[in-house]
Amino acid sequence: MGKKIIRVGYVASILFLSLSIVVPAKAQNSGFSVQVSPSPIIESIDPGVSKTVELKIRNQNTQKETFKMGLRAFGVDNNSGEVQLKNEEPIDVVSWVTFAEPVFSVDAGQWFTQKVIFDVPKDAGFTYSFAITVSRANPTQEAGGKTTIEGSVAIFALLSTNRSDAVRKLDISSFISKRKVYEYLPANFLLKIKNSGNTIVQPTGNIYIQRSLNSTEPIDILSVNGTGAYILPDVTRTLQSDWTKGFPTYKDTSDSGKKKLFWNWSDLQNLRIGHYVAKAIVVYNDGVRDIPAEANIDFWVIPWKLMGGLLVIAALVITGVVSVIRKTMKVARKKQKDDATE
Amino acid sequence: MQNIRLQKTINLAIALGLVGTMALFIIMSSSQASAFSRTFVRFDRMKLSTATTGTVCANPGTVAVENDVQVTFPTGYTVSTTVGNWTVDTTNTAWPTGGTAWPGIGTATAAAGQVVTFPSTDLTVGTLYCFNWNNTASVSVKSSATASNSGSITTRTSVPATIETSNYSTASITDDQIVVTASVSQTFSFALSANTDALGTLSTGAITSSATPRTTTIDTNAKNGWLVWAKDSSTGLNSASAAATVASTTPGTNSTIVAGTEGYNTGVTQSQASGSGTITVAVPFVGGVSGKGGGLDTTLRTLATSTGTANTAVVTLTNNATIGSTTAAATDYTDTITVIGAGLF
Repeated sequence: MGKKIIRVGYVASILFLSLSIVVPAKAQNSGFSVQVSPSPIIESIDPGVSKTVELKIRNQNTQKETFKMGLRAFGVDNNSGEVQLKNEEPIDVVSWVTFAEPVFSVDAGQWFTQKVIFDVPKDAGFTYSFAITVSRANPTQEAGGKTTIEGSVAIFALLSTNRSDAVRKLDISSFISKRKVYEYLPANFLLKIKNSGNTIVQPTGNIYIQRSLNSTEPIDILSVNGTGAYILPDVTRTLQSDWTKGFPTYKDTSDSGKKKLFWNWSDLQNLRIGHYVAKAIVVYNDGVRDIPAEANIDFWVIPWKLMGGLLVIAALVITGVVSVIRKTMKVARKKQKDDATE
Repeated sequence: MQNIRLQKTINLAIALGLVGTMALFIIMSSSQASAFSRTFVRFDRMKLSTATTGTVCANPGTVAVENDVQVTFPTGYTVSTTVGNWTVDTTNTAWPTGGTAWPGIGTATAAAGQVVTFPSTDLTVGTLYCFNWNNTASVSVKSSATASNSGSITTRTSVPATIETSNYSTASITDDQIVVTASVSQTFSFALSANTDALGTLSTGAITSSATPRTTTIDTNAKNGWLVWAKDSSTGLNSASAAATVASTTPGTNSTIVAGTEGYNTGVTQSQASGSGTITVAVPFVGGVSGKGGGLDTTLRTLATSTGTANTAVVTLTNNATIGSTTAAATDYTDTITVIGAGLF
């Protein structure tokens, strides 16, 4: 019986080992650590004119590294707004975007200045957008039993060509409030802006929070595109603005991204109740003047729990007052009756 | 008899009332100037406290002999009272369709308060006339941002008597357009903790996950945030000697692999010391649970994004693998994962 158990155990062990993939343990390499500036690269170029831009690259690793430069195409998903980096080179620029030193070495902790050369063709188009990559010239080779991880940094390059026929044009595709009714602020607004021109633009503007559409003085003014985001031609980008100046307000907490209601009594004057209009005015410059685009939405702020609480308190107070008055009157009437009887 | 007298009195009162109403209507009509069929005032700059040029257009609808046009600028706009600053031209600077040079227009003849008076000659009904004021010393946008700043355009006879008047509205904004002309020195720092991830010996009895998950650490002042993408070389763990692959589990969707069934994916978690950005792990790669994650393939897929600046934003990559009873045994299963980070524009 004992021998049988040992035999079964032996067979099971062999079976287990045969189904296992032996991957030897490996000491950790020192990784990849790079800092780049500027990121992104935003430049104006002229047709037929060469332009050189400096890209600073710092090797933050603990040993000397040899890096190589590369180019990649990217696209933007109009529905999700997601930037999709591609494996391919950007074919429209690969022939005229070069690097002074395509492969270079940098000592640990040192900066290297790479010269990015744009030999702009005479028949250059309106805009070019692509990514410049910095990666190890000699990446870790694949070897059995381990997964190799290679790091790389991409720097977006957005080039606008100075052409007299360049058209700067923006349209507001949609302007929505995340909710129609808010209990407390913040109220969140999503402004979808489409670049319907042929050059890269950086829109700006304000969202005016008002009681009515034609109010002369807004209650609050929000910034549109406060981070200075760029919109590529034929791309729609969603910009979010939040109206936060309220009392009380929900704020993010550090734990698990949950929102917590904050009662800052010094903001009591910012108690928001009722109907509001958000009027967005986005402005872009067509090269000569500001061109505004306008959209508006209405929404409500109804702090129903707070109002309910106040109503209950008011009801209790009124009930108490009425009860006291009734009691007083009853006593007075009784006294009057007693006096009359006497 | 008394009834007849009363009836007469009532009729007389009604008649007088009607006549009075008509007279009042006529008087009011004659004193109320009519409005243009179309007006247009465009400020070339809308930023607060910014000197600006602009364009005025109006389409008259009343037959009269115009002598001047008065433009009233919105309250709060700083209007120069020096008439010499109110020079004009009639160059068509993207005027509305049908815009025609305003006849007789010239440097302002008066500027007081918010009202500036320009000379004009007779206008033809139904024509849209335009002119530009072309000196930035003339007017500056108000210092507060408001969506509806009202002003008016009025044409007058030589008497002077108002012929037509209409209101217009414009906005003042905190900041206006930015043309792409210069680079912004934003920095982006990306650190990968190591270049290998040894999963060890895989078995049918358990999920094997990275013993020391590799991290990418991002520091950036890029206000628009950052992105991390990844792809792999073989869409799975590949063995050359066994000519076999433990395939990535459904790339593009989130999955939880289970012991005993072949699977390979990468789970992603995140943390950040500080920064304005909110990090979001792409849905297919959400990890944090044993065996949970997304499969990588040869397409660069977004692992995580952030909406703002980052101080020590850490994206942790945990590779998970399981094998089945028919997985070919070999010691050279390997994969190359490429992780790329970038600051957004």
